[in-house]
Amino acid sequence: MMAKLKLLSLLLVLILTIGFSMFSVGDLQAGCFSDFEKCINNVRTSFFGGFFDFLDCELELVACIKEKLI
Amino acid sequence: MLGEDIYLSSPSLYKFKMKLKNFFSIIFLCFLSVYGKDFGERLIHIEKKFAMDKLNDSNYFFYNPSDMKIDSKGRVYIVDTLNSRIQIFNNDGIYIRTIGRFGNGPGEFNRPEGIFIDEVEGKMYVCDTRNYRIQVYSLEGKLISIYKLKFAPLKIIVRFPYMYVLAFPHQIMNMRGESLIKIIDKSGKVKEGFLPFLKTENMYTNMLCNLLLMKLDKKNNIIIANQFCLNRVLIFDKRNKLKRKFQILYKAAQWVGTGYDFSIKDEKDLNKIAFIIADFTFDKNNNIYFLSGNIKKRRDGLFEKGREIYKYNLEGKYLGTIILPISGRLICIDNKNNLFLIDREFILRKYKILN
Repeated sequence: MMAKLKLLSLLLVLILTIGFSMFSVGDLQAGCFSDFEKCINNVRTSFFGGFFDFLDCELELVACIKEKLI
Repeated sequence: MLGEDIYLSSPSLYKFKMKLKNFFSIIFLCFLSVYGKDFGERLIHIEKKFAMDKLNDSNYFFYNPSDMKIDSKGRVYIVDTLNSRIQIFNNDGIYIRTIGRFGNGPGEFNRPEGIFIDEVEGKMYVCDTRNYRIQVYSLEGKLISIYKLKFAPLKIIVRFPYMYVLAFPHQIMNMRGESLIKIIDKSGKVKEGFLPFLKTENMYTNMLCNLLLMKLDKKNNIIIANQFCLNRVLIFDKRNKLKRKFQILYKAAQWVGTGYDFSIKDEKDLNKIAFIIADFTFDKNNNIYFLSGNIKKRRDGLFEKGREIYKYNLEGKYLGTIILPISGRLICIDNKNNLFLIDREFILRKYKILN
């Protein structure tokens, strides 16, 4: 019984560690470039996506970088 | 053609050239450290006049403003980009009027990014970037004409009889091999272009290395400066020929990295950008002031970027540094040597330049 409990707690710790590490990686990647990738993917997959929407993504990216750097 | 010497992804010969350049830069620095005592940083002092920071008035609430100009009467024109409007103030910061609102009809803007005041003809040219057009107004705010474009305009200057429009460095322009500056006649037709799109190894670096600022100086020269990546200032004469090209010396004596050797692939790579030019302007003697700085911190623990203004003459000679108490986004100088600043919090400030 105790052995099973230990195994279960070990598994729980492992799952939590993996979960936290995934979230933290996500946080690290959050920013101008990931938002830009999301924006581009949205344009590609949307029915009405086109040239003008790509420009929107690029303008957003530049505004975001300027906000960070200037 | 201009820019033929800049190809960021070219291999061995280019690297050898850069190494050679770095070697001579080090020799030059050694020379300066021994003989260059008079080449140090020269501080230019400023005196605060006002800061529009305690007003409960929406006319002073800017949202990502991207251009500021001052006319000969001292009126200040601010391109309030994400509020889709032009805000006009007098020299004491008193609100005069608003031009435009959000939309795509006549007299409406979507992300305006640039403005030019043509006092000879009494006109104001606005880059209505997201609507792909230039709108022309009287200085009183009456809409005169609209020029529809096939590219997104970022900045505009007018040198009779042509408009010079700086394009947003869209990836499609890169693929087509288009120039970044388009010369447009009064009928709205693109006559020709100059300044080629710099090709780099990836899309992000492409965009950052082709983001430019463009202004007309008091002698009708066109001045171009790279905002990120390349520490590069270009001066074109009245015939659009490259007259001078120089780099900004950091702290008056240190060479700034040119950015030739990096590539931006993700968020962390942004740290490689050591030096930025947020904006630049001219005084009445046609000296250039670059709102700039390094990513390092000053002794007070705050970042330098956007807090230092470097004064240069048109020959590319360093003349002095203004240290701002607060980080800035946009600058402009009037005929009476007053410095107008939009700070990082988008607050309009005015300083007197003392020496």
